[in-house]
Amino acid sequence: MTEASSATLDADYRVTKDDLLSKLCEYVGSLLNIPPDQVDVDKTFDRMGLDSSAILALTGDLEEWLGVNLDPSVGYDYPTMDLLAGHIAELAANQPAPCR
Amino acid sequence: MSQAADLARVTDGATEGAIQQHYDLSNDFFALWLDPEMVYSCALFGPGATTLEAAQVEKLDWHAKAAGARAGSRILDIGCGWGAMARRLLDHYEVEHVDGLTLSQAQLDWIAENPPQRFDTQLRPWQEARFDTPFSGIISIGAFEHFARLGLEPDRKLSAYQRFFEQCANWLEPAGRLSLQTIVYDAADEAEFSRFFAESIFPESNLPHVDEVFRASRRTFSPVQVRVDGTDYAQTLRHWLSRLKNAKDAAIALVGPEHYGDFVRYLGMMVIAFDRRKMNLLRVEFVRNP
Repeated sequence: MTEASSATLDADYRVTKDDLLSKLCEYVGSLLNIPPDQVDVDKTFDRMGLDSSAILALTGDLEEWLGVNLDPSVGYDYPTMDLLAGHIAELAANQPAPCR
Repeated sequence: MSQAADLARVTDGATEGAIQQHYDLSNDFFALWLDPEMVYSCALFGPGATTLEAAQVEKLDWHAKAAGARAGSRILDIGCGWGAMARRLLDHYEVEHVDGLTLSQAQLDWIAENPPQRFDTQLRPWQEARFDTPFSGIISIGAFEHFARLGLEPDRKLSAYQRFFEQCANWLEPAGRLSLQTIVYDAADEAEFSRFFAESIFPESNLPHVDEVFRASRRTFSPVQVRVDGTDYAQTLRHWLSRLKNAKDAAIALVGPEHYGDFVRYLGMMVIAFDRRKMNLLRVEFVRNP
């Protein structure tokens, strides 16, 4: 495991897979100029026409939003919105409870 | 050779201006995320190397041995960076002398702050360098990527590489060694070279295909050892990216948010390219042909 490949979440709430899917559909919908509810969450980013730069921008924005470190290849290891949201939600669920 | 032809030879690769656009951004910026020796090329994560620092030393040692470095050796480092290879050769292999070539003024300035004895540097492309005494070994790490620019005709690209190997052979003693490390295209090719890289990160540069390296060197050198270490580059890049992100505020204070964002994007894209075998990393020990 390298320094950057471990992901940590420090958001002060538990993000769920549904939260993430909603965010991703909004994001990708605006990129592709289609309504969020018409985005196919099982289609690969590649088939949607997102290149490595666009996928990195997406995961970079997720990092900012969640206060999370994501590996640069995460969008290829989990290549659909459903898989990616599931992976990040799992990371969130495995984090210790946030201090308040 | 006419002056015009000489100029064309140099400009087949990246010019001083193009090199300085990247490498002269800020020494302090690179120091934030490289290892303390400022090694800006793929490390070698052998079984004993668990940290970036150790893996960079392992890489330097691999090249030192491949170039036959020992007491009394004279070594040329083409693309000497911030001088880490030279310092390793002088301090641990007791070589007699190291010459270094770079096109980065900032790197020379950095070396000049603590200049090692028996290490001479020149701000000069290899095409214009002249040396009176032959070398026992030549090392070139992460410079070959700048020896042919994007868009050259395939024959001209190959000729540019051939001239590099011919020049190295001319500078070497009989049976002298050349240790080369370069990124190569693997599953990708020139058509996929990112416009962002070509304009904002590495202007006037291109990658060789593995076969181009061996076709270009065939007449002058024979390979002794070949390593293909793309996974080491993905690991090196993850270390750099992690360090850079951890130093975000300091990095932005030094170079501004745009350059910081470009470097985060470039390092991330490189991780993906190596993970997906679009690119690979080639290390070759060559011996000069008789």
